[in-house]
Amino acid sequence: METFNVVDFIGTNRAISHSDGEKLFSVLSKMDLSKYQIIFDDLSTATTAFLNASIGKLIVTTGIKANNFNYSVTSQRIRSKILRVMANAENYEYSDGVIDVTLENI
Amino acid sequence: MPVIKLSGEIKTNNYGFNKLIEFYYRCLNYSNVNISIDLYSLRWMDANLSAFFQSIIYKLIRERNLSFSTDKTFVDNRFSVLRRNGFLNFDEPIEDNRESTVGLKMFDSKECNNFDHYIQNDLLNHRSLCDKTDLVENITDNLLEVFNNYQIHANTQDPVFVCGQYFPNRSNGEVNFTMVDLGVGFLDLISAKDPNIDTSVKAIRWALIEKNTTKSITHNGEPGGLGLYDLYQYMKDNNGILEIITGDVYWTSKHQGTKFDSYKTLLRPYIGTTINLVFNCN
Repeated sequence: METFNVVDFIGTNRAISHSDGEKLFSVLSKMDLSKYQIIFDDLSTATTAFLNASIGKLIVTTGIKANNFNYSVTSQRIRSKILRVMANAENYEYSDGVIDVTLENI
Repeated sequence: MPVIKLSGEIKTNNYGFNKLIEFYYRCLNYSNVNISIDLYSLRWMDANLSAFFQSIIYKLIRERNLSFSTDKTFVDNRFSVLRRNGFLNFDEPIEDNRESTVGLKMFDSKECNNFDHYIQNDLLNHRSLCDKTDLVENITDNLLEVFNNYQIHANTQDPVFVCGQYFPNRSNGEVNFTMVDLGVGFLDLISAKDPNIDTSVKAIRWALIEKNTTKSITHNGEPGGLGLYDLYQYMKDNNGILEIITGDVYWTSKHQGTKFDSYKTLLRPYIGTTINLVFNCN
């Protein structure tokens, strides 16, 4: 299996901008992901904006299941964010902004 | 030369925002002149509100071709913090011997990396935070999420204005940080998504719910609705405060779980979105 290193691709260990996420998406969406492991190991931080624009959008638009997304991440903090973004993306169509009964409690 | 006065205390609450917004509307009566800002009756201004004040000055210079002046000597003596943080920066900035200020800056939406650099070097380099790695990472994460919200949702070419202030002597050793954008605010996009959301306070409440996002309008196929929700939860869990000013509403998390209202209607609306964060550093 080949690897794709996110830090090498975006050129920094701080995955913070939405635009870097979009660039990552444009590359990943053209790859045969069954042949690649995506390496997030060297990241020191990652925002949800970056992750939504990259792997979140990948899951929404390609239909790839989070379980089939082969990736590696060492930071527990970033792993937690990736898992949340993936879960949110898998439920994308159901989270489309319906006003909630708890609204008045905020 | 017209003179416009700011008086009393300008703190990070609805009264403080009302005073600054009133200043803005009074200045709108003029164009192509210099306005003297009378601060002689001003007793206090939260330094982090320099970001909000600067956004007003920026708009007025651009839209009304105004210029501004004030009594430098008086400001040096009474409000030196406003020089130390770069707001009333007449000549050379004076040294911040108290190390309590965080510089006033502005960034355009493409400057995410510069903003990150500013957070690391200007905000989080303070001596009181040097041994608090988790806190520093959490503050960084939260501020980057807010910056990204500006980048994604504000829909403006205008910069975001940021400024902070340390209060190391307060019981929770707090850091206040304010970010102001001059974009579209919350209501228009959210009401386009859900017409039942017809006021700014409803829009704020909607935006604070997990998974609620307007990205289907602006970034089709891209999930969202985590950044602001996570920020809100972090502040609730860590005795911090999140405040949002958009349209005609000042909303605060400060009164959650009490009998006090979480929001106040401002006397007049202001453009864009202002996010104020109070981090508990103890």
